Amino acid sequence: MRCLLSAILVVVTFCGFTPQQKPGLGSVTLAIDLRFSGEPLVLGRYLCHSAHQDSLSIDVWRFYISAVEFKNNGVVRFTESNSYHLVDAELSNSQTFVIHGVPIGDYDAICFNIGTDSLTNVSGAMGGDLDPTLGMYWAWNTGYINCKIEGRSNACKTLHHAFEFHLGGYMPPNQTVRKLQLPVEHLRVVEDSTAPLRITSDLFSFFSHIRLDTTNKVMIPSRVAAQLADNFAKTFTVQ
Amino acid sequence: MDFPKINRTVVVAGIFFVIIAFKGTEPILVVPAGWPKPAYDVAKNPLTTAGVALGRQLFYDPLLSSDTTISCASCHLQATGFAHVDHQLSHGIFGRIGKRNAPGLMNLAWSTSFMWDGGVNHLDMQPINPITSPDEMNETMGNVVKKLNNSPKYRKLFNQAFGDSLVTGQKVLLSLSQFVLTLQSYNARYDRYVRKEPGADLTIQELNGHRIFRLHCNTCHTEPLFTNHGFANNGLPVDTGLMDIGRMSITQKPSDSLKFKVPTLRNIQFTFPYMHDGRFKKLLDVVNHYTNGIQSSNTLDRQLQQPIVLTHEEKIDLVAFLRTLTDRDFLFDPRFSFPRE
Repeated sequence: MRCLLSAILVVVTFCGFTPQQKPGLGSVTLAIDLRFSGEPLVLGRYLCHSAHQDSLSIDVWRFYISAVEFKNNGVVRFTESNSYHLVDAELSNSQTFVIHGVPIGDYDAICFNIGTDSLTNVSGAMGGDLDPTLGMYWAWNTGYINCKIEGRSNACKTLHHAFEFHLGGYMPPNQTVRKLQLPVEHLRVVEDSTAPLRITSDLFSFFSHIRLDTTNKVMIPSRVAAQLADNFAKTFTVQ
Repeated sequence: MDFPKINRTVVVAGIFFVIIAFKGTEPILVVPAGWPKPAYDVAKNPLTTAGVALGRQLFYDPLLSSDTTISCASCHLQATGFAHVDHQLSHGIFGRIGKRNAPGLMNLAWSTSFMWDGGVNHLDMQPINPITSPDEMNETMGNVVKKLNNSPKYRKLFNQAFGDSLVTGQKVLLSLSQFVLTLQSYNARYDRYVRKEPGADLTIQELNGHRIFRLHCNTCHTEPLFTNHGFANNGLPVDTGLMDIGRMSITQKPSDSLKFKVPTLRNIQFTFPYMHDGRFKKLLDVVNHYTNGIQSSNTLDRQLQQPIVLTHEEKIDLVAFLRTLTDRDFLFDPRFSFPRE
């Protein structure tokens, strides 16, 4: 009996860790490296310095990566279905995710959205990473918060020196979703195997482009939110 | 009464259809003859007996508020068309007063936006507003889900509705949608008259009111839903205490200043007080506003630029017609009431 249970356990474990792939398919393990000024980000720690010599700390940093695609020679070879990933600086397991069912072969670019597209924003109650209980949804002016960055800085003359950037909005002209295409080197997907791909987002440049004494609270879809979404998109690089 | 044969067939078919709709195994969204296509896609959230029953439990449960004192039904009472009767502005926990008048809930599958300013784009997402508003239920969605997951009763109901007892925000919202989608009103005297049902004639006074209605009101309060789902500045003087700019707070466009959603007029006899801030108690007050109270401004609706002139008798006739939009089947339907176990 104990042998049988162990055997079942092994089979279940095996199935659990290696999802069945169809022939000719592999996977990519995407790791999002969250940094500030080249260093791994530590939430709540007053160690960071922006270009303006303000000391600041990041307390919350969450954003969506969606619509992941892999390209080769300018042609989209793979589009992930139901592709929504909420990355949270507080949850290390949200910073790595496996993209299954990628056809074997070489790829030279990854495309993805930072944030969620307009269709997602008008489709009613969704689940998983899009569940509105996750604090990334606006009630009074419906839509997803595509990126949330909160923290404190001595430059902010606000209560508790807090700054809050809730970047969202899906309606023109102030859409905040940003489509990125990043070149990748040596991304080779092999059957029944997973290829690692590491993407870095470094908030140093985000804070270099704003003055926290004047811009420290963005909570509605607006021109400023769209500008900050542009800035945030520029923080992404492939290592 | 002498009815052409074809109409009798339509009426019989219609009644039969309604019987099928409610005696069948699962509830369905009824699309009455002559109505447009609903905006809500029920294919994505099919109504089920268990799903509707769960939504009904949630609708009437004060557990959704932070101190378990306020339910959806606190401000949306069935007997008054699911509006907040007698309160100009609806109140929430600790007696806090909100800034708008809770609207009636009916035929929501046809609504293209929600809230007086249209800030909500989908029925599923609407309940997040009252649940999280500090002036209403003052709760977080995460905590609602936590409380429901701790309740054996709800674990069972969620399992019956979704085949999985784990409560998620998505399931809470989908089941609430299922229940409020069943709040359909299409059996007012007006509807029976339109369907040419035997004995469902309107009086001469009501018919005259209907004629006046079509002349002056129908552009915005378009039949058969009695709303065009648009936004309009209907010339209300601004309440300087509230300073509510309406639609502009969502779009930030000056051209939307002082515009509010055009509400349905179905069951309007019972959904008093009227307007987004509940400033009028009586239907006649509303009619008098349109004839004598319009305040001009840059965004005043085009239809109201020219004064509406009505005699006192015409106003009385118009109000008589509006009373034909009262649907007693809807107001007293036991399927919509507090769920007794």
